[in-house]
Amino acid sequence: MSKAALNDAPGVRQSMAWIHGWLGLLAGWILFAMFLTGTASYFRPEITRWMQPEIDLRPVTAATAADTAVAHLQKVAPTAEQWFISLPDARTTATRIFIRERPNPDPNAKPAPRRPELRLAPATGEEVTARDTRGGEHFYRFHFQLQIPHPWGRWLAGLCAMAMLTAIISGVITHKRIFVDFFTLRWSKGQRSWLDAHNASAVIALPFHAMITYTGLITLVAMYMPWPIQANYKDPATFETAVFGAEPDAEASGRLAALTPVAPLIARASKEWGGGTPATMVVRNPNDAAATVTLFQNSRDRLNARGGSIVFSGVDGRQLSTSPPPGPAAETSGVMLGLHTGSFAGPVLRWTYFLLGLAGTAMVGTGLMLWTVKRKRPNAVPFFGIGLAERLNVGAIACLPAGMAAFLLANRLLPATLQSRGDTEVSIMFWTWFGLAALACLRPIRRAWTETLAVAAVAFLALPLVNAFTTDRGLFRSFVHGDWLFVAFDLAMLATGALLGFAAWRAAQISSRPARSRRAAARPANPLREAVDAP
Amino acid sequence: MRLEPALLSYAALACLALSSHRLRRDVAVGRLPTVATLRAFAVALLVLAAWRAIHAFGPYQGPVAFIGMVSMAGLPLVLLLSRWPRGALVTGLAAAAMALGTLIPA
Repeated sequence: MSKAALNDAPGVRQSMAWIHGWLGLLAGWILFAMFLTGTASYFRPEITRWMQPEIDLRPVTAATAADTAVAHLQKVAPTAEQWFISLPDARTTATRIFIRERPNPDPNAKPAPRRPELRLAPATGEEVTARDTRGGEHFYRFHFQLQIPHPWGRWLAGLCAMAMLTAIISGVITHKRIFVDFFTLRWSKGQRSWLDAHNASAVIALPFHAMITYTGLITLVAMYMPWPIQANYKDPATFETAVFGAEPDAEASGRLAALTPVAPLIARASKEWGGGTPATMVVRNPNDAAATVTLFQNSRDRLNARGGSIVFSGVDGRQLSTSPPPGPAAETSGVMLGLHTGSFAGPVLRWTYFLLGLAGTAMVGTGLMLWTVKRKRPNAVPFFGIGLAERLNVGAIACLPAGMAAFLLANRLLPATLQSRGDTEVSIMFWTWFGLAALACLRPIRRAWTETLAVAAVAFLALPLVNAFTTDRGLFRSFVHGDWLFVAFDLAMLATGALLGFAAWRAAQISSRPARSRRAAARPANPLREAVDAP
Repeated sequence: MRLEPALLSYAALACLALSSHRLRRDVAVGRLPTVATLRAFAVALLVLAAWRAIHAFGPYQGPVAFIGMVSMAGLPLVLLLSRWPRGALVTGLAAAAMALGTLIPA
């Protein structure tokens, strides 16, 4: 529709404002949680490293890590069916290995228990052990699975992402003074301020919000819309082969043959990839005449998050096959995934992603606040619906951060040898989050805001202290030793605590302000005008 | 320097902010450049930022970095403008000076 037609048709803008408000509200609480945990997930390996402070490894080259891992596997499982080796990079630091045992030929024998994933020090190949934790993986999984059984969590996340996309488009149409208001943020003006903050956080980072929402949906599109693939490929495996190349599936020959050294294979793959490095190495039928070694490229420094793979013979190192060069569709989907996860990003771009993610969180949060502030009449008992929305706002905006802080605190305070320790950490996050939200319902709404925000602030500010008392990697010592991950983590926790503390202080100020000035500040104007533009 | 595009974007957005009516009224400093001059400056700085982004991050990540950093630069600018408009604009000058300073020896 042309701009002139839009200006002539207040009906369009009004209906867009209606869609924007209601979709934004209904999906908003989940979207807030998705934005916040997704933003944290840009530091997924770093969070995991912080949550296992016992492990402090120096990075080595991929070839060294592969050599030490293979040496370890030769000792513990020389006749396994398959070795998976996740090679470390500067961010993950540890090598991860997973062994698949050969199935017992006797059909009556009990299947061998699944071997757990192990971590190795990449320089020595020695096993490293640390406290059991889900680490950064927890926030990452929650971001799109919402701790709901498969496939319902992903479906709900997709539904909310669809609502987000609709809200972005309807929001842009609704907000006609988009560039005039670009730099406007007025404080202490009630509803006006929330509208300013919502506009500013949404418009300034609009390219990011649109990109992250769209690519998020596309990432899971094969699950949400499986039909094109089903219509074209009878068997899902045929599709996988067409896109990613055939996996070697030769049976073990039963003849012994020494495994070829893997470091030269990595050098050759790296050359073929123009300097790229492998992320994963899979060895099938090690020490057998039919052994193969598959190397999968990592996604660092490439927008496409899905790299190619090369299969080598495990006996003489011959190159057996290479994954097909990605077609336009595969390339597009890989780049979309890469843009969403920022897997290519170095430190500068990663922090950019992180800050823009926070802007997205702020956009959703201020939108939720705006919905209630706009509808509430001063000195009147709010309708049940508005009261409920307010309580849910407290639950999402103030109590989720408190829950996330509790997750990290539990990591430091639970005994290291506790049974199913990782799961307990996760439970503590949800008990804190929902428990605090329920407790807050017992308090008047203004006090509930101040108190829950203060609890969250104290929990974050306590993290560096608890870290200093329970590990030998406290802030001061990390600073002296140049342990920049731990320094940055502590500083980020202090900053988050300060921000939440500031929010609590503002909430306290507003609740102690006399009712008269609040009424003056929240004076309702023409409702359509309020929703549509800022005079 | 990899943050150059962010500094240049901040300066560009500060120019754009200063070309808006409301802010011209609020920061009463002697003689302001005309709106057209400020906009021309902003465009020039944005072009420079895009060039530096592609220079630092390559042809594929460069555009991502450019768009991301323009957005990121807007966040502190709006927060500063809301509390301390003159400070925000002075910071814009400083950011431009820092970024251009690193360009000269190169």
